Amino acid sequence: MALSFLDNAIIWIGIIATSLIGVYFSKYSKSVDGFFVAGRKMNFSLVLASMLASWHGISFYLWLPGAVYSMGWGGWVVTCGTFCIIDMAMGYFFAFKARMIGQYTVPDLFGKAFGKKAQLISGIAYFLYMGVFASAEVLAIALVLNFVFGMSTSLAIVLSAAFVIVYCFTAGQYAVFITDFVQYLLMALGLGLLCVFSFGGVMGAGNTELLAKLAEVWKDPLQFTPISNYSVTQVIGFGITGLGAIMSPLYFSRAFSAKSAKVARDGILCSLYAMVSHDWMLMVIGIASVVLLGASGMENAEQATLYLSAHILPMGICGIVFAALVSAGLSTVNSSFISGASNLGRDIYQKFINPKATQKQIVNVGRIGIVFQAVLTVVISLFADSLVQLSYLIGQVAQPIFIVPILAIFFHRKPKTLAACLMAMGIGAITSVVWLLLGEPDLFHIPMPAGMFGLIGSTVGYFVGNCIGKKRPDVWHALQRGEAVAE
Amino acid sequence: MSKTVKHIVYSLGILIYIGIMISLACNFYLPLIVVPFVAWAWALIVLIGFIRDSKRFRADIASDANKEWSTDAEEYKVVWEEEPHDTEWKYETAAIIGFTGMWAIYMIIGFLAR
Repeated sequence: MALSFLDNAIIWIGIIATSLIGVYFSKYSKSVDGFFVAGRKMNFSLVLASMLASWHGISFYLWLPGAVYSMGWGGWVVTCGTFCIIDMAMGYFFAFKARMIGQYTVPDLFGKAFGKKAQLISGIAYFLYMGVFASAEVLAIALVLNFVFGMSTSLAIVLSAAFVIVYCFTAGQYAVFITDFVQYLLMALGLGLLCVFSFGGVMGAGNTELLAKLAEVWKDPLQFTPISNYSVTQVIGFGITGLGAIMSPLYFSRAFSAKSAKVARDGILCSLYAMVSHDWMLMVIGIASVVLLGASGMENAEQATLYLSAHILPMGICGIVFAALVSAGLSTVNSSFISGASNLGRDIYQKFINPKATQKQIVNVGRIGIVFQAVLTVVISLFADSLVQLSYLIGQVAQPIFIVPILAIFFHRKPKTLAACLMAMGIGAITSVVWLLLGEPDLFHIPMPAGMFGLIGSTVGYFVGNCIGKKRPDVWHALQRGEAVAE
Repeated sequence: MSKTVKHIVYSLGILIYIGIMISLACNFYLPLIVVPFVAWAWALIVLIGFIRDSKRFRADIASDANKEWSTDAEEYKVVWEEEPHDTEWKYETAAIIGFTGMWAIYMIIGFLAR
């Protein structure tokens, strides 16, 4: 599609200005704390904005309206409802404690609870996971750049990773928070404008006529019900994917970077309620796409947001909306890169290779980690066929690896062994991959997505493993008594 | 914010969210017009909060610009603190229960409709 000069200018100014703002903060990143956890000085506004911007990626902004477009408003309930609840539970139960225990990375928590080897193995696993996670986002940014500028997908993938590297490399987590803040405001503005224009286009004649128009496309009456015509396996599968919040470094790094435990809890929880309002805006966009675009013209439902924007928005506003979409992607990719950097710098280099490393050495290794992460992300993006399939696979395989050990850290307040962690991770990974390869068959007539089967395997592995080897005291009891926790 | 204003604002917020969720369950889409304004209200809260706190924030981070980073990295010292059950916590609890309850109702309606 051909955008006006003004729209083009808005998109590029948005990307370049955000990157420059990020680079400006490089002077504050001269320590491990500064580079990896933004000096632990982030206030409520920054935690809220950064949480939303990093968690709501562009793949989600394309995916949800597409789901509503093709399945009905139940597309939101099934694909995001469980996410929202798990997200809120995460903020409610974990954020305060996570900030209190401080540290730098999620594998640090593994180290405290299960020992140093658990930190190394989970550090490597998290580094790889974040590379795959970011690739779905980079692929979605490339989709938008391809749609707007006609740019080749390969070039768009490399370009989007390059923009993020520029400010992450120089300013670390400080840049992530500050750019997330700007990107969040842009996302709220752009999405809100698209929502208002969409609403104006479809609600003029009232609710009854809207329902009649929707019924022309949504032929199945179930598409007007809360879970639409999703199968039970899909409902459970999306529920498992929603569990991803529990293990996400994006949550934990926001908590670690907050200026206090209360700021971490309030900022993360409020960001989730703000996220729900963004979900609903995307739902309105999906409903408007059905009425205004009908059943033709798009290659797939994921392009509903793009086509609707091009179809109904005037010059200038269109640029803001596309800039908002790209911002949503960049803000998620930058958080993933920093997370990978901290895994390499902290969990692998500082903890295992050079325990006496200076802060400068650790930060520099972290910077190398950003480059590795970017290369990994770009390579995966270049070979990924579908955004939805990639997101689904990430969810079904990664969740069983990390969720059980993390839940155990926070809720299983008993002595634990290293074998418990390793067996939970290993068996979780193997069982979910095997189940995927078998085509996710039902188990005793019960729908069984790979993630669910993997979680069962991981739980069994954890409790069996907890009977093997030397037990370490529970980390929370030790901290409550003011004792240092050995690693 | 005074305690009375907090009670009014937080209650109103929860009511708006529950109202939208009920209207969705009834396939009545007109109330969705408030959704972008709710999102903008959150953005405004964030923006105003950041501007009001910017002086303190700049002072907080100023010391990071002068850090000597050729020194060894220190471990983070954990200080135990109990979670405060303040006004915010009470409304956060209510909001989570309300949202989860509405989602459970959606699931029940969805499966009963089949």
